[in-house]
Amino acid sequence: MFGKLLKNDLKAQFHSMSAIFFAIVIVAVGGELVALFAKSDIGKILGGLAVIASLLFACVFVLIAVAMMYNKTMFGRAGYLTLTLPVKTGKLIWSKTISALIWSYLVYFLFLGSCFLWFGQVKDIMGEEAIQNTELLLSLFGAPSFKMLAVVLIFFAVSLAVSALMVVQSLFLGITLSNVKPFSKLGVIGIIIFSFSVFYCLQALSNGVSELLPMGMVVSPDIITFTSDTAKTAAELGKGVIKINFSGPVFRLVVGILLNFPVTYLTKTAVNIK
Amino acid sequence: MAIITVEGLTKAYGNKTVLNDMSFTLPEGEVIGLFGPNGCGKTTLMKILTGLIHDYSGTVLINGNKPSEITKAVTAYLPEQSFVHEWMRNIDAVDYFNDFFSDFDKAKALEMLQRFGLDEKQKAKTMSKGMQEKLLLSLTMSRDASLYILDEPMGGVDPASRSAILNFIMENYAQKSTLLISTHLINDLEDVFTHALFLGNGKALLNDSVYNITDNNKSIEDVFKEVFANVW
Repeated sequence: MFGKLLKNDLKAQFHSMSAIFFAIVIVAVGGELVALFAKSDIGKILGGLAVIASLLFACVFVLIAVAMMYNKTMFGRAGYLTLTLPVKTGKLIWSKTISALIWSYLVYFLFLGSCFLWFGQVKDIMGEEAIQNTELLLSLFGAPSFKMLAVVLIFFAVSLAVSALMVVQSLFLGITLSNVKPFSKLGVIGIIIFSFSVFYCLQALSNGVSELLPMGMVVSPDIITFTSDTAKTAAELGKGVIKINFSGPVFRLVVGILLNFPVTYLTKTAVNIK
Repeated sequence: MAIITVEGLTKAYGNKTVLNDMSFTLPEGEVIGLFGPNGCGKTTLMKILTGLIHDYSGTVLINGNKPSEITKAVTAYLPEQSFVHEWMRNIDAVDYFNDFFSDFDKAKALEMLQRFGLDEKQKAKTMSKGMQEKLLLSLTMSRDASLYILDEPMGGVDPASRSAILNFIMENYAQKSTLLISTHLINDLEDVFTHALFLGNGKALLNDSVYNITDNNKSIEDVFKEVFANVW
């Protein structure tokens, strides 16, 4: 049954997402054409940057589309169909969460891919020697090597991907809360207020957890050190290091999973379909 | 045996109490008419039975179970408004029902669409209200459910099509199952009801077999007028 739910949710969301992906294709083709026909290197670099920027916007639009679809299919007219299916409410919400994540990851990976391609393009334009010189210059100021920075960026990308679960579930909790009386009178404003409030509170908690449990790694110009106290290790290693805490992303992952319970509970007990 | 048991059901919208400590039971295997003036809580009751409204007090049981995925599996619900996604074509809606309801008969649904002259490929957003009602009716009546809950099934249908649709409902509901139909069109449906439930003032004012209440050659509409003449 869960597979059928997921299939139908992806199918339903495809109709909203197709416009966003169509726009991405148009911008990507436009960007590539600019890069192809640009006479100056700057033009080529700007063409690539336009694609990256459009994909960054697309990430936001996908989240907006996900939120709108959730509100419509759960608490709008289509809720008559969704909520009379012989399926547990928790499963319904998981299916919508996973399908939302699939669309979010798709556009996110396209974004990462475009960044990677753009970097390759810049590298080709500048030449290997120029890149090495830049790295050398940066190292004089105590910056980590590009390989180390790549590790940091990979971690950052994974961390964002993990956080997407919390973002989606925060949206769902915010939307559900905004459909509970008397807040339902607030309409779209309620959705925005509740979604941002829930996310802000959880993000603040996540930061607090990171401070309390500073487990993670410290990236210095030469080595990566795994530690149970990133602040202490960073202080020992001196300037030019990057601290990365693992506890924050782990917290966001756990919270993202646990948020399914209040969303399910509220949907089952407090929300009425108009 | 009772298919629906309601005890002390109360539901309010703000300060307005729509259902006020309502209690009744409805027998299995009957065609039950749910009657009452506008705003008496017919749709609210139906939404509670189908698990769409949760903030009520009292007990509501279908086949001994509270509204849940268990009761949803055996209840076919036709709401007043269309619930099909705008992007869906008729065939998509049929496939959707086929995916989730084990008692759904796809071949029967396709046959019904054909009978109503609905194109399988037509999208819901391009259909008129009447056409959408026919689609929903085809989907609902293609289930082999224990309980059918139909909220104003002929509300948006032209008078000429009403008797055809009524015949359609009566031909296609699973025998031995129960039909709960809310309607204002008492005259059109008079002959099919075997049981009647009258709601008013937040209570079940009358709950009896049509045979008993239409004694003395009265019609259901006559009884309706009598009951509600004293209420409003």
